[in-house]
Amino acid sequence: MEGTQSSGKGSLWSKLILFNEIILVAILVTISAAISLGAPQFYSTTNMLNILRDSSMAIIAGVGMTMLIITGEVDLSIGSLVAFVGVVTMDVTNKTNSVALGVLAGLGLGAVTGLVNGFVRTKLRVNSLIGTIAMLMILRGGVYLYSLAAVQNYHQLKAFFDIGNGYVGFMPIPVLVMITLAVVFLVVVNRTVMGRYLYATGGNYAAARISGIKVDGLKILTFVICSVFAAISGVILVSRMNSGQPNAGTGFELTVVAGVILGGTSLGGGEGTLMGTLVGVLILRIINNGIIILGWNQDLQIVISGIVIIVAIYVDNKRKIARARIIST
Amino acid sequence: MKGRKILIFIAVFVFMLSLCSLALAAQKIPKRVGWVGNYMMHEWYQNVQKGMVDRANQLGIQLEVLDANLDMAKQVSFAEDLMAKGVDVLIITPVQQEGAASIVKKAKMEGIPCIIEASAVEGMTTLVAICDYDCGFKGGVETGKYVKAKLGGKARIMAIDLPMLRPCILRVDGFYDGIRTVIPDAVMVHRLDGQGLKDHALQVATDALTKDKNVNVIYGCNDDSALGALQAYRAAGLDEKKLVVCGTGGEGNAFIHAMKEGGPYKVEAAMFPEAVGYECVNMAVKLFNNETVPKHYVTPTAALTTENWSSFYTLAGEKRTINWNTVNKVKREDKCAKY
Repeated sequence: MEGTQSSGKGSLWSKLILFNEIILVAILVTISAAISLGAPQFYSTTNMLNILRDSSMAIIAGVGMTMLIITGEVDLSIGSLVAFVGVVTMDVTNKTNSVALGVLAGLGLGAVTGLVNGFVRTKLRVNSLIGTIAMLMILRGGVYLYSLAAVQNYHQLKAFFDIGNGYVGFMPIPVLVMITLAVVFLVVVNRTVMGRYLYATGGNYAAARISGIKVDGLKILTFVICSVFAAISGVILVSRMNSGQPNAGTGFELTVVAGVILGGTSLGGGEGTLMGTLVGVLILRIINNGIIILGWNQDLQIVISGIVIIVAIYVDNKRKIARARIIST
Repeated sequence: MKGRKILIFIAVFVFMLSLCSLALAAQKIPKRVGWVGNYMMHEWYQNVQKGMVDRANQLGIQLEVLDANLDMAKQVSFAEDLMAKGVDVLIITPVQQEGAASIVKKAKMEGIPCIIEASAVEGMTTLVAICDYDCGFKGGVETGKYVKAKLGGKARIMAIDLPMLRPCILRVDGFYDGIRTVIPDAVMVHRLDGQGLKDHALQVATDALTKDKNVNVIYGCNDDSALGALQAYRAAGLDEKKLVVCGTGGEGNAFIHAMKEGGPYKVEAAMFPEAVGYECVNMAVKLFNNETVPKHYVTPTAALTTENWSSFYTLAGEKRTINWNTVNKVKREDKCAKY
């Protein structure tokens, strides 16, 4: 299991403690069970697929963000980027009558944004929190300079609709994209040298640099990956909305970062797993979904999410102490 | 004999025309009008600005527009700047109603007439705004007629609201009351907070349709809300032929595209942003001339349908032009049914 050290202890309790995401999985199961008691349609296939499809955008962006946070950086510009990518993708698709060109334009914008963020961090030495907040402002203002109004879908191409709403068999296409990117993450992080370098850079930047890792290049690469993954989310969103909205993605970066942190990725760098991000984002999504299905006041979504984050991190801190004791004995 | 009658008629007509011109000429026109908007990036305010600029250009008024961008402190500062520059009339779209009261007070002290647009402020002289409840009501009535004629006469409604803003609550309340004048047993199945944004509306509507997908009416407190919910309905694979969608505002071109599509988007509770801007300038002229003005000057709203929208707007590419002849004939309320 990624990021887990096996202590060789045999008891079930020890094994559970050593499973990094156990607390999150327990919370996910508990919340799901509680919601389904009050609203049986929660466990319908339709709802499960809706949750997965809707979560896929945050999870895809979360995969990229996890990689970046492992290296000790963060990117708060992804919400604005999602809006800009959506507008550009729709506009280019309209002008060229080509979904492929529209999507490439959107992903290209993501890549350029990531490059700039990486450059600002590594060459201009601006803290990534501040640098990406600045990029957030640049992109949010920039999208309105590009198009004051929402960009409507002129051609109604089926391929465009299918990106966000289509299926391959029973599987929604966004979920398929999410699974593909998750597999890429697992392979890169767990099976390649680059993955080792990511954790090393985040764990101890100076030591990684001295040991010969090209840390700046690695960070720029992860900024690009993070932005391109956010751009993929933007393409899915514009397809689902059927228009490019300059005001889209508001609060998206906070949802993604909250899900990643809830999933156990450390803002200090050097720690983080895909499973944690997946479960963290799903917990937040299921809370929002459950509150609507139960017919509760929607304002509770933010309140309950906040409470769950605090409880989850507190309990997981206790688990980490127990884990450290088990490993040391 | 007949010729003489025609000549007399022409002479009287020309005389009357001259009298009107003299009357207009006698009305002083302010040289400079300043407007501090609250969020000019929004399509609604871009169109309000168009109407304002059109009317200002017609009258030869120099219009200065500043954007507070949802920052109350900035709005106060901009308003003070305009007053210091010596504008003849000030127009304010409040970021916050309570915060804007200080601007109204300062303008009074400076002797500068001040018009409030959109939301009432304590101490104001006049408010130029639509009636949100009545606008929603008209949309509800028209939607009810459609449901009765084409969808079997039973209405099950999914409304996308924005409870943080009272005008949006009034629109949804008005819609519900309006539809029930035609279909008394109309049911509000879902009333959701979409935050006025298309992506949020899409998400909450998706969840709500999982809970109960048996809806045949979608209403949005603005166009983005209605369109986001429509996308959720489509993604759920439900039959669009059994649905009618009503949006509110007509803030941009999205509703026109949706109506032209031939899909379920059939009704628009239009608020004519251009007319709001136009009337703000007219009101500025009245205040500048110390005329008596109503506390709330209600700008027109109407329920547009796929049959009649083109008599109110033309769309060439993405450039939309309002038809003033038609809009100016829309019957305005003297005051709102609900505030």
